[in-house]
Amino acid sequence: MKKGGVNMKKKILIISSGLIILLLIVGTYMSMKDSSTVNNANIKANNELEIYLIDGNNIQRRLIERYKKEYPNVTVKEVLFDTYEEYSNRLNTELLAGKGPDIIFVQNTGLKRLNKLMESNIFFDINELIKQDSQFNINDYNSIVMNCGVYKDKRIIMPFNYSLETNLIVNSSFEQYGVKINGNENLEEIINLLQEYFKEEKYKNNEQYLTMFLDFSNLFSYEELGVINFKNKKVDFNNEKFKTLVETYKKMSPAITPQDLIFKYKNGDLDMLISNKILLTKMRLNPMTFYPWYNYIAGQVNGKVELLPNINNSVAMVGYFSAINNNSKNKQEAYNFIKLSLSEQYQENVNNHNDEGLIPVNNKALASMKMQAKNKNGSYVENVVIKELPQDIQDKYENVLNNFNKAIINDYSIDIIVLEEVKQYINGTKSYEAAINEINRKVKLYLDE
Amino acid sequence: MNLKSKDIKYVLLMLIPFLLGLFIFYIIPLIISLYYSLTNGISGFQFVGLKNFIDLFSNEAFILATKNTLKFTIISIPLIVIISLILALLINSKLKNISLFRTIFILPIVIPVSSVILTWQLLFQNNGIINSFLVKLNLSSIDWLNSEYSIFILIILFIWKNSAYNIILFLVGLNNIPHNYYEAARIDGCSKVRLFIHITLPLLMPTTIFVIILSIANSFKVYREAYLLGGDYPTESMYMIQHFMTNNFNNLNYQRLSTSAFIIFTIITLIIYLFYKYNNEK
Repeated sequence: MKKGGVNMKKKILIISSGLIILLLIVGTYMSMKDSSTVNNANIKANNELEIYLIDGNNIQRRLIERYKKEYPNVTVKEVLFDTYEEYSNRLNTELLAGKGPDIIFVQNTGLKRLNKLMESNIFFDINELIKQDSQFNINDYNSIVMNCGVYKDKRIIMPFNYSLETNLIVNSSFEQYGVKINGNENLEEIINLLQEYFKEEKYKNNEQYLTMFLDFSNLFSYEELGVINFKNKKVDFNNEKFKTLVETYKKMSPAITPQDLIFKYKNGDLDMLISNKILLTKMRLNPMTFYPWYNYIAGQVNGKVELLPNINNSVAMVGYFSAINNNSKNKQEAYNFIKLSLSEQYQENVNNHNDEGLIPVNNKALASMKMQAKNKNGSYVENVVIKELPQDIQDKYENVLNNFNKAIINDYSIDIIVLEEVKQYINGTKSYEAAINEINRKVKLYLDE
Repeated sequence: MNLKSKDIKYVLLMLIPFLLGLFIFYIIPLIISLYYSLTNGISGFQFVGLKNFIDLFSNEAFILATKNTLKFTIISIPLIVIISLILALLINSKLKNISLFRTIFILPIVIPVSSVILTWQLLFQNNGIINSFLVKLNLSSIDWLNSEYSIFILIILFIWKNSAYNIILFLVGLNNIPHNYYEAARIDGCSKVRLFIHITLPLLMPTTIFVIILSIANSFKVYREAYLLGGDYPTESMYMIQHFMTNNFNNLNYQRLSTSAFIIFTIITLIIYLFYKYNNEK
């Protein structure tokens, strides 16, 4: 009888194992055939909205107050955080636990590992809601910037604004070194032209610096340089262009101002440029920032204030963005929040008061801001009369603003890896080849993981 | 032993805290981990069968991590067992002043990891003590912590840090061997080597197997030292499965993390099962 019992147990074990294996194989086959997400066709309005906010962040605060006025019947639950670090950690934890806020509205730099979050299927495909909304027209917004929120054909990030940068110089500051700038030079050419400046080494006794703090990663974009192919996860920093950039950055590193120096000037780097303490400074291209600041500098210096658009990369960086939590039961309310944030009136209003110089994605809002900027006197800067820009400067400004061909949501994890190795090369603790090999290896690992 | 039913009740009552802890901290997370490894997505979980496992086995980072972990284990475990046994035999001998060495060999167990890492960095940095010594001898310096030698530095660190615990276990095992076996063998004219091979080793086998199992478990904890030495993305030779898992945790890829954790769990369980089976058969 015992033998019969053992045989029975063996049979049951074999049959159960077979069933489990069959289930696994079928599941595997089905998942490989169709990897679409859960059908979200039945989205109802529940009149609730949860959002995480950074305490003191005016952009978030203004938007949520506006939302409450527009949708008084929606109960808004705000969760406040003191720092971006706390915000990011809590958000990631909650999202992974299947909870978290209904709408995520935050600055690009405020979320860790954003690219990995996008891969994790955490955000809802907003196209599902756009399809049902006949009033929403995606062509009303800057298509290049909006498209960087599309991942695997799903629109999961809705950019709110973006940054584009250029650099300003005062011609007379360069002429003291026998250099005539025509405005089309890139960074390498500028550095090569300033041989006399680097010979004199005025930065060593704090007399004159080349520029304010300049983030190495702002000088290029990985895709533009061809060093990273995110789609195929290919990495190759063994690139002449990258080497040139690193060598240029190495040469200019000693001449970058210490960060504490800028606080001694009322208007920071702009006053440093005017007083010839630095030779060039960066400028964001939001019209409400650019026009007054350009006029402020031009009104106080003798030489011409020139624009150098080719120093920075011609890639726009997403500033703030929105995303809807895939777990949210209030997707309609979250979508209404996004629509409100992208409306012409709101985009114009918030980006007008935007100290960070970010540009709205709404095309009409941008056009309206350009008109206002030309006419608004003393907007952010006291006693500044807004004059028309010189035609060549106006043309260059329009050219940079309208002709960028790529926008990105930056993954700062890669910047950290690259900067760490580049710094070791610049400090002399590592050879260039060793630094590049390390960058290739670490970035490849990061992408593979 | 026949337990009366009321005794069984008390036994179960005493076991409840342990069983609760076992379920909450081990069994349930294991089941959840298995669930994650068979699904996809953060919300609206989709059952995907073995797709996560198939993806993982073709993932280059995972392959590299597995190779390095295997290499580390295959080199360090035999070494730590042999070195611990030799040191235990030395301590157990009647040599003069051996108590001083007992203290020296056991000391690494109490030194905090951060202090150990600081010392190791001072020794093996590019401009560290070892390289200064090499330069003085007119030899070229080696970037120990950023080269293919980094895995061996880690192995040395692992052996140095963890031998103490194994030495204690071996000492207990050695002291449990009845002395009359040795006396009888000596009377029969056995040499020291034959005593060791025919008496000490066989009788020490259960302890040795236990030491091997513990060492395997400890070898996975070496991630702490590896992380302090090399960060999230150390040298290619030091990138281990724990780096892969931690980075996937930080990258919010719970599925991949759970899948790799489950694979490791299965491999370790299998190894330990085989060791126990061998021990029981003996």
